[in-house]
Amino acid sequence: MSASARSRRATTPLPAAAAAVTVALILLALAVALPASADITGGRSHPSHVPQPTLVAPQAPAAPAPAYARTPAFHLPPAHAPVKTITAGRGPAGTPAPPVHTQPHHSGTATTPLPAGGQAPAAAAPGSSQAASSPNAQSGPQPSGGVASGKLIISPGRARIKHDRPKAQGRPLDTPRAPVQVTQDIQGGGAGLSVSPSSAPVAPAAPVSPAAAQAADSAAQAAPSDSTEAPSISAAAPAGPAGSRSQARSRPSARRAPGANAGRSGAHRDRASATASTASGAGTAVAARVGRVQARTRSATLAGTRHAKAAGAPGESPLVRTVTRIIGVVPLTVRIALGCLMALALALAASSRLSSARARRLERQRGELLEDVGLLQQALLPAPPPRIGPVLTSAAYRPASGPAAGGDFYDLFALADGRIAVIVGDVSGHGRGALSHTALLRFTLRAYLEAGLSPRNSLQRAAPVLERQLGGSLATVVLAVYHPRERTLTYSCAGHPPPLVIGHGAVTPVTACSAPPIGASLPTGTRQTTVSIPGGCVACFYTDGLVEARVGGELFGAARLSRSLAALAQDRGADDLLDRVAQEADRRPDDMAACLLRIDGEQRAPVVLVEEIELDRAELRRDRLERFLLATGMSVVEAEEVVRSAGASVARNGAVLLELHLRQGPPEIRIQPQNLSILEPSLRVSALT
Amino acid sequence: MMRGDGAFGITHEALDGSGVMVHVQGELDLASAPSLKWALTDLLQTGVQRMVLDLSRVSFIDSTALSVLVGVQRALPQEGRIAIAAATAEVCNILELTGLDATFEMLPSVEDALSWVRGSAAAAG
Repeated sequence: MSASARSRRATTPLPAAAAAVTVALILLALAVALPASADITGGRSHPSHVPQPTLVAPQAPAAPAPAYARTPAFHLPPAHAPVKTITAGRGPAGTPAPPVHTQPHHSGTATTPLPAGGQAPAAAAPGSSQAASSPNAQSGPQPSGGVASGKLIISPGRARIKHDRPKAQGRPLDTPRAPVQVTQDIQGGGAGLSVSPSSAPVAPAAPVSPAAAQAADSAAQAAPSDSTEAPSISAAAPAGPAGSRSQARSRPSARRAPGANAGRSGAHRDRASATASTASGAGTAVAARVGRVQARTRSATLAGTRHAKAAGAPGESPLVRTVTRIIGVVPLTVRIALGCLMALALALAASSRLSSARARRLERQRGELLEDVGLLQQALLPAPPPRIGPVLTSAAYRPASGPAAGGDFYDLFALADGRIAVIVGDVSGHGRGALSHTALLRFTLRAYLEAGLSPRNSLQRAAPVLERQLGGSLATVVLAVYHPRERTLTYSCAGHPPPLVIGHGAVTPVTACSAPPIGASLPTGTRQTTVSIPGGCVACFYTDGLVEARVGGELFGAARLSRSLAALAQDRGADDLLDRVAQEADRRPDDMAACLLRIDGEQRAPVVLVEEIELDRAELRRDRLERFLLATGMSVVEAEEVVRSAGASVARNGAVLLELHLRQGPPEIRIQPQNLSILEPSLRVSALT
Repeated sequence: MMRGDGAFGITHEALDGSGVMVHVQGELDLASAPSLKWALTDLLQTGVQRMVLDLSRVSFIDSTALSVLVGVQRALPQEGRIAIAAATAEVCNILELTGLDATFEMLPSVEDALSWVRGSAAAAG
């Protein structure tokens, strides 16, 4: 039991570990949720959330270089260079659109100042669209990472913007320069303009309002040779007579996709050819989105589409990109916390596994210890000689397969006069504690037998001594002495089943008024039986583990044990009997011990059966003698006469011993006064009251 | 020799005076002996003097359970005693073999046990 309790304790870390893992998972979910919500702002701030400067187009159209190109407000941290694509009409909502003030200038040329901040947000947000379509002709296209300037040349059939290499003074950023070439076809009244800077991974065509086109025109003229660092400029510039009308519709057109804008403005299908050089460090999700925009733009050239796909990391699922973004914005402290939680979860899982392994090991060790108790018990039990005179002797012990191992004991030895003494008993309680009791009982009882006392007297005198040392335990025992010459067996039981005798003429002993076990605070050793066991008979002393074994839900029982004993071959002993019982039984909840006396010699009818009973006043009052006499087959009249005679003797002497000789003719009853002075004083008092 | 039907169970009811009737069901063996011990020990705490064990539904009792009964009998007050009522033939045989039928008051039926408790209570009164 204690081992199972230990195993329960050992497995307690399991739920604790599970709880810890659950807490870790909850914290993990919270940690993921927090950065995800922060991504609404934080995600934009990184990498694209940069101060977006307000760019004001130069008032003087003839300025050699745009003022914004030299304004200090436009200086960008180099770290924000990677996002370079701006698409008019698209972008995340909520991003404040940098007001880009352009001034109508030359109808065919516009310079679109592009603030930094890279990611198309400003152009895509509704606010930005409104800003772009304001009467001030604020242009929607937003640059990223630098200043874009271009030269837009509009011819009746074709408009072309050429970005020249930027001049030194026009480069506020020290990012690598790359040539940008924007080609736009303008047919009819509407035109789509797409400017793709060299560093932009994609070059979407983003038409803007006519005002924007004008602004772009003027800007382009103002700074025809300005540098284009990273931005992409997309502008839809309806030209010609549709200018005022397009301006009126600039608001919706600026919000829509470039292609739609181009179509709605009445312009012919425009085709933007953007050639972008290799993007340095590009490849963000923003670029991918812009790439999709461009893919939808029918004016985009095949080359531009290919660039967009290349920059959009083809093959990546949206989930992967989302996770990548989330991971990118998780603060370092949260990452550390997550790492710690993961480590904690792993440690707890490992601890739980170790604990369960330890519990299994303890359970196994408990089983081994119980087996050791059985083996130790077996080792403490003697190995009787195979033959004592005419008697083949054998003894065996099998510990129980469960927690009940230990408690049975036996002894089988030859007395000095050639008689054979047998002790078989069972101590209540099991395990290690029972081992000392079995040894105590065995050696104490053996000493009394070797001193020459009869089994009954040995029990009677040893019981008070033993009871004080049993500590409340009960012990059942049978003591027996076999007389080889007379072929008689005399035994006395204390709460123990009598021996089983099979063979020719075997008699059934009287079990009524059996003596109580040792330790029951009652006088024991009050009964003794002497039977003839001639040649060919077998006497079997056993413990209750044999008859209490289970066969198909039933007790094994004394009758089945008798059959098993009779079925044993002549040369088989107690070991074989226990093996047979163990084979037949489904379950053995208790130890099994057995001693066998197989008598050699000629078969002859048993001639002796003597039953003895010792009585005191209390037992006489409880009609104990009368029940015993009736059990021997005596008539009621005879029994009453015997009880009266015994009562008179008890009244004189305090106790009486009755011997009933039952085998030879009519029952012979001998009543002998018994002196109880040998009993312990306490037991004598209780016996006499 | 048949095993008791149903699971092991113990119920008890208070009787007149300081008596208690304990109904036991199932087998009284190594497995159920601890339950029997704790149940009877709890009853001892209530000052019970006469304890009747109704063993009419107990088919088997082993040495461990008998040891429990002997221990409880020993723990009863001086005038206290355990009576076993309506024990089956198997249980009676076991009690006779172990010689403990003289230790307990063996009563053939529950009614006899009730009258035994009443009589003892009257004698005590």
